Amino acid sequence: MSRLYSCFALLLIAAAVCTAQIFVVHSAMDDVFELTETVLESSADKNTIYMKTEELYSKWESDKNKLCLFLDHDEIDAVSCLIYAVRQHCKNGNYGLVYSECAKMKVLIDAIDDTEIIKFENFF
Amino acid sequence: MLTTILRTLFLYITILLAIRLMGKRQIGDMQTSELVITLLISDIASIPMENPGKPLMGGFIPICLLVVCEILLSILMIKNKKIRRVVCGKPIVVIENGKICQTELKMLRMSIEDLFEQLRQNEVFSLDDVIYGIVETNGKLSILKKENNPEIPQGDMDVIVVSDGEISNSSCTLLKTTTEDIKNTVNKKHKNIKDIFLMTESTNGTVKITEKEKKNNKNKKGKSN
Repeated sequence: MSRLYSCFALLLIAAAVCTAQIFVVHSAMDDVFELTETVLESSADKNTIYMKTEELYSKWESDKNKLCLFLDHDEIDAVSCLIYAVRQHCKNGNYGLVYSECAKMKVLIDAIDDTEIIKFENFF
Repeated sequence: MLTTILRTLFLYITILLAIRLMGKRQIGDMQTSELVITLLISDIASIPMENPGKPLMGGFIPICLLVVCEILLSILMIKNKKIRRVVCGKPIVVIENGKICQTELKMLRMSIEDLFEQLRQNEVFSLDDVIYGIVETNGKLSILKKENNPEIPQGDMDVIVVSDGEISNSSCTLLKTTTEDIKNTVNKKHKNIKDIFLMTESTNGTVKITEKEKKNNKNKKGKSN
């Protein structure tokens, strides 16, 4: 009987971790994705691009530690590298490169978020 | 490096707890399902252990799930004999009165060399010394030897005919008897098959019956302990 209880406890732990993963990864990735899109859309206003990039950076810095629990650290490092690059290009006024890095980041974030979804392609 | 050490310690404790939850058994005594789970757990644990880039949860959660599967399967196997039969198989007689049962041996995909190796490990060097040789579900060979020990009745082997209230058809075949005969034997002893925990019948016809413990007795026993 005690084995059954421990079994139940383990199942609860697994369910809790899975729920936390879905919530944390999905919400963090969604936020970053939206901010990246905003940067890409605000092509005319340089101040807005700068502000949004800073927002993106601070958001990523706060979410990074939580994401480390569930995501491959290499993927997190790849996103971090791109965000630092976007920030640096923005400071230097290379807006063309900002868009290019943002486009790369969008694809990467989309791919990371996509791997967490239960679907036929991910199953196999 | 310190991270790797800490991760290793964490996973070591996790695996220890997992194995402890699954129950104590030696490698040789493991059923197929237990062996598979043990191999999988060790393999899964090694991934986050050797690669600090992988999240620990990626190893921890699959281990938890495998342990849960193993515990649930073992509970189901106790409750349902059909599931046990599917997962573990059944013991198969490969030697009967010194003769090798070739069909069973082929079915087990066991070579004569393997059989003789196991016989030798059981200190049997001639087929004539064997009354029954049974390959258990964990792959081990159990042997009933012809011995000159007066305390051991020669040529007798206890066969489980009723286990947990159910008659074993394979045992009936082995004893060359029918389920009706077993029911009659039980009725003669004024007992109900459903109330029998274990009934063994020796090849010389001796019947031993152990009845199921009543729930009240069990509780009292539990309390006294």
